[in-house]
Amino acid sequence: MQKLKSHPVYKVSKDVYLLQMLWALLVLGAIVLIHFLLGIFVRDLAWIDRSALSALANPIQVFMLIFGIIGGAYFLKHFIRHGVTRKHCFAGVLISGVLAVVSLQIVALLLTFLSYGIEALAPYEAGRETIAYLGQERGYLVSMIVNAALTLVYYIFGWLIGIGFYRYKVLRGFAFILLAVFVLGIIGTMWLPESEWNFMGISLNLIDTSRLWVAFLITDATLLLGILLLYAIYRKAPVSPH
Amino acid sequence: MKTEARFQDIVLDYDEVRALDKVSCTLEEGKVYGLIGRNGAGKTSLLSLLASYREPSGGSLKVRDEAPFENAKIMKDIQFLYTYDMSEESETIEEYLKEVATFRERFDFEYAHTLLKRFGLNPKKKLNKLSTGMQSALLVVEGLASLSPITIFDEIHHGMDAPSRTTYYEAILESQRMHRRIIILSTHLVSEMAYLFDHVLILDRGKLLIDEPYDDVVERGVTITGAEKVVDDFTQGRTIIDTKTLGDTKAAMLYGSFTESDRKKAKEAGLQVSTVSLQELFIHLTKEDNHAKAEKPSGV
Repeated sequence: MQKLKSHPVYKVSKDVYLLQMLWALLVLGAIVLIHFLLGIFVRDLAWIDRSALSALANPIQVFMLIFGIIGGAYFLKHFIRHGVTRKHCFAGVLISGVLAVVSLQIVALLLTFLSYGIEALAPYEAGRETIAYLGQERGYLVSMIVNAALTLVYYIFGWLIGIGFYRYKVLRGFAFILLAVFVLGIIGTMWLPESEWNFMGISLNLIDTSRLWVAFLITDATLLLGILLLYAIYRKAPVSPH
Repeated sequence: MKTEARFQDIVLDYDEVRALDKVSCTLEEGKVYGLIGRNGAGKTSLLSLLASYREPSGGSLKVRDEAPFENAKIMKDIQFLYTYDMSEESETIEEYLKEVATFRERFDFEYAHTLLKRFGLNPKKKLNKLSTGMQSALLVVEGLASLSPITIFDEIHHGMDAPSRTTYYEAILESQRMHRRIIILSTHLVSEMAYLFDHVLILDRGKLLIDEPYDDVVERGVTITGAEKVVDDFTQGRTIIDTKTLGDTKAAMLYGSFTESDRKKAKEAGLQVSTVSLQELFIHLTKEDNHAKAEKPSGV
């Protein structure tokens, strides 16, 4: 255990995970409060009819995207300064991202149960609707797994934008924004019901993703490609001290 | 194993610009190196390579006979310190040093606290509340207390007042006595820091002009003062890097071998011989037209 704790990957993932969770809980705390207040004062809103797990899915994705953009270059610079290799830094930040995504799904699930508990004790009506991935209602576990996979795609592509801008400066860095918009748009659209497969006016009825496992496989493949591209950029990225 | 860093024909290109051009030198354990150069000379580039911030475009760099880039064993032993924006850092000095210690296995907390006290830094103070000079002092504490075998201070004295700079210089000497390692001081404050250097590296436009022990460098520089004609006769065939004339009196700054016999001859000719500081040598050797003279001084 001591050997593990002294390994740079452990230190990096621990540091980044704690920071991610601190920021995430602050942001999500504010969103939960807004959700709760809207639930009391404004009933006529689709978002508040959703369960916490579903209502927080998009905010968590956006949070991880932004965290990826901000942290993309910051962590590289920070940990290189402490004598950590790019390889270890990359592994640590990736692991922390996976752990944060899983943790945030668990937090969202706990909030869902908590809202049901509050409903039983107070005059409050908790939202129950879930995101209908591929047009079907899914259980908690499947929803959590799909949410987590999609959130990781957001995180990786946010990270790509951050490191792309850092390494290739503004003009070429801008290509990474286009890439992220394109990939996230396609992947997001793919999880909608078949009737809504339309990305920027183009129909996406090319692949049959009506089956859960096919959509999941395509999402995972995108994730893997994103990670490989990220590592290719990261592994020899020069760092400027000033 | 002794720590040694060997640069062999190192080249570094940034797109079209050559930042380092065939730089070769060896850094040895137990020495304080003064890395001197004008703005844009390539100092930070050279240090960035040593700290694995980037890879060289050509040549070979070895630390303990291994390439340092992406080498976990080597990178953890090299500490590159430079001033950076701490305005977003809300942790306290104590927390910051604890974080540093998790990555630097030799970190000495007791020594760190001694240094903090000496610099008048309160461990409970937040980083973003520190003045520029205090931030620099904290970086000195970090660098010295980490006891890394290669410690690099890149223009760290920014914002430090004179007493803090003196504390910094004293701490460098004291630390080097206690824990022998390679310390590199990249600086513009040559006159103030020269006495700290065991060895001098002068970089100019990407080329290493001087790579010699401090004493040898300063011994090479002399100023000959006297009647203009006598000075001209005496300095004929020698490397002159600067001249000043006032009426009939001329002062010529020479760079190269200057023996006891030369000194005697100068005296006999009624000339005054005075030493030249490293600062003066640096200023004149890095002048556009003196570049070649520094590379091939007379009598060497």
